[in-house]
Amino acid sequence: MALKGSSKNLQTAMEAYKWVKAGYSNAHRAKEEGRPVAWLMFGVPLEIIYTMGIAPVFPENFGALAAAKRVGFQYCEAAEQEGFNKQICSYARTVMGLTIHPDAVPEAPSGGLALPDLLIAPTMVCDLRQKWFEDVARRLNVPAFFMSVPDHDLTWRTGRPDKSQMDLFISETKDLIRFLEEALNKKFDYDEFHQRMRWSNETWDTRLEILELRKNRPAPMASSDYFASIYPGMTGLGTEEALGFYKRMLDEVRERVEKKISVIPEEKFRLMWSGIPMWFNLGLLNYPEQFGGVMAIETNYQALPRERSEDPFEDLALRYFHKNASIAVDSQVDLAMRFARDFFIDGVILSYTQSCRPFYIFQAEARNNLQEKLGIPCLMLESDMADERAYSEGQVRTRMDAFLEVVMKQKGLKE
Amino acid sequence: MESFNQFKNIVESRHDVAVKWKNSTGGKVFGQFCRYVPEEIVHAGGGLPVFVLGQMGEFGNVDKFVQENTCPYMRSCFAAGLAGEYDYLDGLVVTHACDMMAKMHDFWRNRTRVASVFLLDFPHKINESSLIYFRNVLDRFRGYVEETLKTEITDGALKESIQIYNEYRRLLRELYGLRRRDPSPISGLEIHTVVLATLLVRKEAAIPLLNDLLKEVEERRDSRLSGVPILVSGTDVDNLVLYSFLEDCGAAIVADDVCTGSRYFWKPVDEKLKPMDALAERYLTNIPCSRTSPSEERYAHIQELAREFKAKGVIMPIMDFCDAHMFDAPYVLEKLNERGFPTLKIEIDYTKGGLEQLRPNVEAFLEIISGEE
Repeated sequence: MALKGSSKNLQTAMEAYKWVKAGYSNAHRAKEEGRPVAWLMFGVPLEIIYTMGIAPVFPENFGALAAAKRVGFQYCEAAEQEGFNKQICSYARTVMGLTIHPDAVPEAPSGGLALPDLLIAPTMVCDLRQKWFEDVARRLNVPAFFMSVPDHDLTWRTGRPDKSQMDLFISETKDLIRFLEEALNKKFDYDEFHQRMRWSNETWDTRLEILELRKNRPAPMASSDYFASIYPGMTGLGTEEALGFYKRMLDEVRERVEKKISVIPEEKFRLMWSGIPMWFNLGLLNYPEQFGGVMAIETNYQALPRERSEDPFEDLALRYFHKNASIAVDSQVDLAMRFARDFFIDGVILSYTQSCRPFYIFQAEARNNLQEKLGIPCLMLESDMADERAYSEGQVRTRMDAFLEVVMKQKGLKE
Repeated sequence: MESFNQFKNIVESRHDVAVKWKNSTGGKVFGQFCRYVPEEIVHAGGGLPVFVLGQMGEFGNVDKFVQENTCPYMRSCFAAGLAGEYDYLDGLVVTHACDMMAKMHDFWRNRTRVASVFLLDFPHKINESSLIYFRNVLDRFRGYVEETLKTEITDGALKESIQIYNEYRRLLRELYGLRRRDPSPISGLEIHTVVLATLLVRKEAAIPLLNDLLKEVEERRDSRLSGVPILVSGTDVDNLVLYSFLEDCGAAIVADDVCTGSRYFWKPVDEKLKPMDALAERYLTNIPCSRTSPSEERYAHIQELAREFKAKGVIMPIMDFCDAHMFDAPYVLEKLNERGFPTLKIEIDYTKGGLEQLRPNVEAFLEIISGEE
């Protein structure tokens, strides 16, 4: 089993790559035509970006893309030569490598990143995203806007954000709009913003419906389909096109449920993937299929149920603060436990991506809880999301085989 | 030397010191990992705020819960927590100072016997709306402390605590200033011992000790600081091993930009403002940690210190897996080099053995910069 891409079951998932290509070429075209380009960290309210007519670029995604194209590590090496420690997030190293040495890879995937006029990052998820854009801003001499947002781990406990948390999120969101209005010398169109919020919420609901259908046995789609098709949801929120994509996907998944079309001829056991996949080896997601196992669900990048508000600013804040959006250790452990139960999971693979440790530090506790409280066998795979030098094929395969044995035995599929 | 030994003893027997204080006063002890906790609030309620420290190279059975390739300092602290060494804490204040620290909230809450754990959010950006938010966070924090101590914290008590803390800060700055003298009557290791000790006791107890020490040091005639003058800037190192190692290599630590050093006490709290407003303002705008934007003030602070204390070079310890400092390092080093300060980055794995491996590099660096005029 050499490193390879995944095989997909849904037509929509197979088409999703076109979205990625279109996203990158749209930004390059915008640059050529003199339209504004912004580099964004995930978490920036995209509805605002699209309303302002900005072509968005997602450096974090480029980390995944370059890894999937098997060149990520070359950019990482280029960044390391500039003094960036190997322990730093491999997405960041990939993009710093590309920024400082655009020719580190002869042909950059999808033409690389269109150069930004602006950088925008919310101060959520991890500290490094902010440091990363601070550095890019200095090197490329472009303005950066950091949205100062409260720690949403707090709301995991309290259930609901308090007024001061809501106030900060909303005032920073409005500051972002002011920043964009000034930088682009353009008025913000509130009617368009409202429309985009409606599309965005509908997209969210559609994704929720898809998620719900995945509880069916046999699984109508697999993690390989899911990871291939998150791009429109993560980068196109607030566009009619992304909504259309997920509606088509929903139709397809529904049809497969109705007709009981399964991922493999006979689904014998169901697995869950927790964490970022190793983008350079998505084929791993399909590996259990030869033994009758389906990677039926994954915990990452999901659109999960949340509260709504008629007021779009409050609505954005509630999306951020919702319990389900928390990245606290306990909330992530809870999510893994809930999904394992709700999706009838027989074994869990926990991907510990070492250069994304601030997020995935919960994996050991997820394993402890899944094993001790639910009796579900777990496999912890330590590697990285984008730097394939941190991956050992032989070791992963041996451990994977041993783990699948345990799962099958526990399921009574093997002596 | 007597008063200096008192500081040393506090560091060495820190758990006993805290437990003894607790038993003799009936008071409550609050642990904290980082200087972003407005301790005056705990102090005003009669509590004892202490820093939770790790033990270099000791990680107990922490691997079952926290992966190996994460901040060794936090891992070591947590190992101590797991082993019950901090069971005497009535509260633990976890700041969202860095990702790893924030995540420690749940680990300590679930896996140790510390009575209560509070997550204190700290904005990543210094601006007006963040200040308003942080002011609210401090109200919540005050409520938590009041509840734990079962007492009301009055503004009057807060003002008093602020005065005590400011006096303490002033004395530390005075002590720091002595290193500008030639010969310097105090060594870098001594100063770091003093700062570390005062993170573990009530400040009104630290003040007379500092006064005694200042008097004593004034009378010293010999130089206690020999070697190549350097500034230490980088990841927080919560123990004295690093400083003693550097001075042993031939460095004279004349100044620092670390969290258990100058960053901790540099800026006083404005006594003219309402106490809670003053605390919010001071803690948010004190010399920022690497993870806070904008970073320019921190960069300026480092250069200013290096100039003021006549450092010949800057040694930058970066703890393994310390994301913010690691990311900052190439830029900060470049700027320092441009301003004429040679730099050495050393990667710390939080073990003594790891430090020893760096000895040839450190010694070579010191030799080179000692010859530069």
